[in-house]
Amino acid sequence: MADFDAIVIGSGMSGGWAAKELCEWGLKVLVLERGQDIDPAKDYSDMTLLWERPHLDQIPEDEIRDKYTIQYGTASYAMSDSSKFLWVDERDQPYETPKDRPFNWVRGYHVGGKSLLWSRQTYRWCPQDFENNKLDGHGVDWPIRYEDLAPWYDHVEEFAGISGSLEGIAQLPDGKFLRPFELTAGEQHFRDKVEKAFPTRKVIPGRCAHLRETREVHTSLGRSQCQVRNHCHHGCTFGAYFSSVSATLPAARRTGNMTLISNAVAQSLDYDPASGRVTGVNVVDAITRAGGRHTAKMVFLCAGTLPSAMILLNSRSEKFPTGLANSSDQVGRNVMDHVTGASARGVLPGLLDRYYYGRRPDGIYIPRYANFTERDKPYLRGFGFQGGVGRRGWTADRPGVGKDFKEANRSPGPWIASIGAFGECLPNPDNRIRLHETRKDAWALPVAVINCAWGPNEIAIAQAAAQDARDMLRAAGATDIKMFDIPGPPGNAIHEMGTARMGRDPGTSVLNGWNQAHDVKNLFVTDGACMASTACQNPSLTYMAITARAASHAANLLREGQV
Amino acid sequence: MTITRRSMTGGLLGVWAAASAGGFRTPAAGDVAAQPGAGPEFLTATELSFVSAYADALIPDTDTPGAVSVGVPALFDRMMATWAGAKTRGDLRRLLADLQRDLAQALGKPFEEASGDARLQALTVVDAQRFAAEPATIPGEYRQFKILITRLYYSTHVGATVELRYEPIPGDWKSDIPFSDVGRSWAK
Repeated sequence: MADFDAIVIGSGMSGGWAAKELCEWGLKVLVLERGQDIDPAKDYSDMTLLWERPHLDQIPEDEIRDKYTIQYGTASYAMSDSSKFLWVDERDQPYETPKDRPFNWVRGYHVGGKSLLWSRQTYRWCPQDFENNKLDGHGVDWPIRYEDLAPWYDHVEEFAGISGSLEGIAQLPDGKFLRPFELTAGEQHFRDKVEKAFPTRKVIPGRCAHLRETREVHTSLGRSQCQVRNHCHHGCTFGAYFSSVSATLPAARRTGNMTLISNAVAQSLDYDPASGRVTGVNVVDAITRAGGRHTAKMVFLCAGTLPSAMILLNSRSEKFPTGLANSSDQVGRNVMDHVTGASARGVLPGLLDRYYYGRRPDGIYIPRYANFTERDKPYLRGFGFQGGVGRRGWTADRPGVGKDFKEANRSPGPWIASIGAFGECLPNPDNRIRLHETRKDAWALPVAVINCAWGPNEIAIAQAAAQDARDMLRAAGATDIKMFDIPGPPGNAIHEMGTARMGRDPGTSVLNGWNQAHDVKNLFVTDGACMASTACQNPSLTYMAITARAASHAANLLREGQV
Repeated sequence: MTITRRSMTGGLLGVWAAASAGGFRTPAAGDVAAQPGAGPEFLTATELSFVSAYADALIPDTDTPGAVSVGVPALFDRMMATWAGAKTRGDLRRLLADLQRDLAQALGKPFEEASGDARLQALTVVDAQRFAAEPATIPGEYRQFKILITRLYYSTHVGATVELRYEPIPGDWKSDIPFSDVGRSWAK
């Protein structure tokens, strides 16, 4: 007799949604979270005033060196002394890469996972994004199309609360939006100039998971309107941005159907060859290191793109000697991320009598145009830009001292425009994660060996995107333009995907069109591991929609006795 | 449109009281730093004296309190004691010694002992020289030091809310307003 109807491994973006949906379908659900529990009242630091934060809230340099070297190189914008506990101590879970193929692995192990760390940009994919693999032959064909996911995008957007503007852009479908964070004067100027110079391109307000206004579905969970503080990476006491902690887990909890165990590090899944099913999840306590086992009728694996693959690879049996659900040999392969680093910034003259009020947790977005509205590109797929145009604030990085220096900082500087690309990454089976044969982490689990590098298409995208960014700034009249075209290492976008991809053919993919393992009918994987391609949009909204869809299907299967 | 400034409460009297305390001035009530009454934790007395003179020349008292009056030297000392690693500390010590030497040579006496006008004149020259000598794109040691002193100032209650403007909880986003409605740079 199983302990639960379902076990959800991971409580982040995908795990929170799996828990909510399955609980609301009436299932008894156990959520296993490898990190600590989060109490917003105790753990969030967003209500601390600017002048109440010791040493400018910067993490001590020695601590960065010892614990956060890699993550700080990627996510220093989000890391502070008062919230550093939300980031993994890299000594606890080291990993290896070839020396010439770095991978920046950013992790947050706690209830809520990276839903407490994300930058909350939320974009739908468009129909073409689900067709590109088939059209250009890279990767495997997605087993679903936009139409399959569209109602689930609606579903998750209404619950999460997405701020955005209705634009009617084919390559970036509109959704169920709350009102947008409007453009600054500088951004309006930038938009007008860019859209005039490049009629195939659009500049729109960013779409983000913030409650610009509230609905009953939000307030019933204790969430309230965004206060425009931009303290998001300290946690949000108002619950104004979407996270598992503010939204999905409370929704799951109020059903009375959820049990959540924190500090439970999932180690492996047990497989019963007689029934062809997963029968249990083996865990180790993160604090005591004690082992344990939990059972359920089905498992939703939502530990994160790399950890989910590691759990599968660590679940070996006679039937699956290279890892559970790995008859295709695709588990751990096709590691993808968005290529970043292509950007430009410059100074926009004028508009010095205009300003703004509030610290907007959002910016502008330039949807993909390459190989969509512009077909003349020497590379495949495309990229979108995120950025903003704001006034330079006070600065000490200029000559001058005394009263004049002080006086000069009383007025803001010119408008600074900055845009950076997120480019699509092609699936490549040689980009992979595997388990080290001997080396173990703090929980005696094999450490990861990640071998991943950009291919020529990603390099070409980065170079083209940088030049396009420069050209758009020129078109906007910017001066002192600086262009950057060297891609950051994979992992830098913190959009890792693809290690247990969906597909139509069990011989070349791990999951079917319902995120159900081809090999194991009561195993579902709905985090970034399931992605067969990356598109160029930030992926979290798609994880949410895919998870909700899979959970609905799984609940039906359970009801019908088919899992 | 009038900007409601909820943060402009309760700070001024306490700030000026602290400013007049003299000696190792601890930051105003509400600001974090060394324990009240405690001496420097990292800087030597000589270094602290120089950092104080530098901060006072860089951001002096005007119609609002300056860097020393709001306790920036103590904040800086605390920062070096609790945040800085060995390299940063070593670099800073060398920089302070170099600055002290250069300014003393220019003034014919220790920077701290010169008059306010003389300090301003000498520091203006040295500041310009340092900016010219360091690479434009990446701040060198002097610019990092200046940035840190300035950042600490604008992160105090007075620096953020009296000298500049700061709203802890804006409550809403107004994307395009006249600058005159705010009147000063946002501190953050």
